Parts: sequence; structure tokens; C-alpha cells
Amino acid sequence: MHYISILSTIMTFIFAAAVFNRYRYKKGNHLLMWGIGLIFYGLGTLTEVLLSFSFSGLALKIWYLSGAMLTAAWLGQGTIFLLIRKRGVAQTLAIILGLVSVGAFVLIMVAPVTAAAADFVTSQPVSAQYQQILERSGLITLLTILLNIYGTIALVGGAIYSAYLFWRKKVLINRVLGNILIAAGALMPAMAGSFIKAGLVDWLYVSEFLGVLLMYAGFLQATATKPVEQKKPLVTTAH
Amino acid sequence: MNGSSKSKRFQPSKWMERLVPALLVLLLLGLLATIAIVVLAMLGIISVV
Repeated sequence: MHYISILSTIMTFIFAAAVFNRYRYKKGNHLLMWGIGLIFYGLGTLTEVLLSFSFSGLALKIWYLSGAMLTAAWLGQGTIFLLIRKRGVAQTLAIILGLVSVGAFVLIMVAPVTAAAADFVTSQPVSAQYQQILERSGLITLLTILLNIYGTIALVGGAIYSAYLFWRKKVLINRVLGNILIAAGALMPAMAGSFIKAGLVDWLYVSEFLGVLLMYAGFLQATATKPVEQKKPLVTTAH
Repeated sequence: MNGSSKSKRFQPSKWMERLVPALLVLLLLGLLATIAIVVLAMLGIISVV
């Protein structure tokens, strides 16, 4: 099982590097937010790898904080920056997200690890075991749900909306396809996460790998430009 | 969204005319289903674990 997480981690950090590299010369807050979101994504899968070798309370907390709480919200915040052009709205939401993230960090760090940690089985996915080990307050659960709803609607909904706009105007087919791939990729771990929250089937590790693979393919597709278009500024949905 | 250039326009093939809208609808349904599961879990209709 941990081989999938290793692949996901490598893929995610390559993806994050590509996004930060683009941010270096394009300078867009959306790229910065996506980059941060991908770092959280990668931290989530990296801690899955670590936990597949031996248990660590800190690794479990980082896994929950980054993977379960922050990834979707920060990736979604990138799309908010891209799609909401009204002055100050995206910035305000980003500040709120930053404050909530700091609050989430504090809550998770002080959350107790129960005695069930002694029974942690490294060969089993952490997603199947964390419920008994990490004691989460009602506020943590509420924040997790709200952050995931916010992030999923923004990221997946934003990509669907962008793809629809380009499709309707019949322009930039690469962005239609790119956004479809991004939406599909983002939806996978979101669905898997909600299944776990609801106590349904656990396919988180596979969904994370397929998710980052599709999103990266979508990013490459959406940012692919023909030589003649390279000098023009990329506006909406320049993933 | 600066899609006025003719070089950026495309003419979808027949299969694409059907596939892309179907994919968009499918993705939207997936998004709604995901949100619905989370909301149902929040309301306690299905258990949050």
C-alpha cells in the first residue's frame, strides 16, 4: 500500500515544483495558493509513507492537518483567486483561510493521541486507523468539514465552470480538457475523503495517486501554449 | 479568456460534441454527491467517524 503513497508523494512534489516555477515568472496568487496546497498534499502522502514504516503521533497529526484539513481548501483558494476578480474578495478569503489554518494547526497539535496508538498496524492504511488514535474535538471535525466543502466546491466547481466557459465559446480546447482533468483529479481524493468521513469504503491512497496524476496532466494541458500565444498574458484559468 | 484570436478557436468533432458535455455533467454530479455525503454526515444521517 505504501508504494502508492511513495509514488503520490514524488508526483505531488514534482507538480508543486512545476507550479512554483510557473509562479516564479508569472506571479499570480492563484499559483502561490496552488503551490501551497500541493505542499500540503505532498505532506499528507509523505506522512502516509512514514506511518507505513513506524507510528509517530506527530506524523499522524501532520497527516490529518495537511491531508484531511488543509489541502483542498488551499488548492480551492487558488481557484478563488483565479475566478473571483472583484477587488479584495479573494484576498479577504485568503486571510480568513490563513487564520483558520493557524487555528487548525493549534487544535491538531494539542489534540491527544489515545492509547489505541499502541495497536497501530503499519501494514494498514492510516485512513483506516486514525479515528481511534487521534482524539478530535467537535471543532476539529467541524473545521475539517467546512474546509473540505469550501475547497472542493472552489477547486472542482471552479474547474468545471472554467471548462464550461471555454467549451461554450469554443476557444482553447487545451483548457477545456485541462480543466476537465483537474476537476476529475480533484474530485477523487475529495470523494474518498468524504467516504471515510461517512464510514464508507476506504480507497484514499489510490484516489490520491490518481488525483494528483490527473491534476498534473490537467495543469500541463491547460498551461500548454502554442509559440504564437506565448507572449500574450494568460488570464482566467491559466492553470 | 482572451479567446478572440482565430488561432485559439476550435471546431469540435461529433464525438467530442457529446463527450465533453457528458463529462462536465458527470463531474458536476460527482461534486454534488461528494458534498451531499458530507452534509448528510454533518446532519448525522450517516455517521461521521
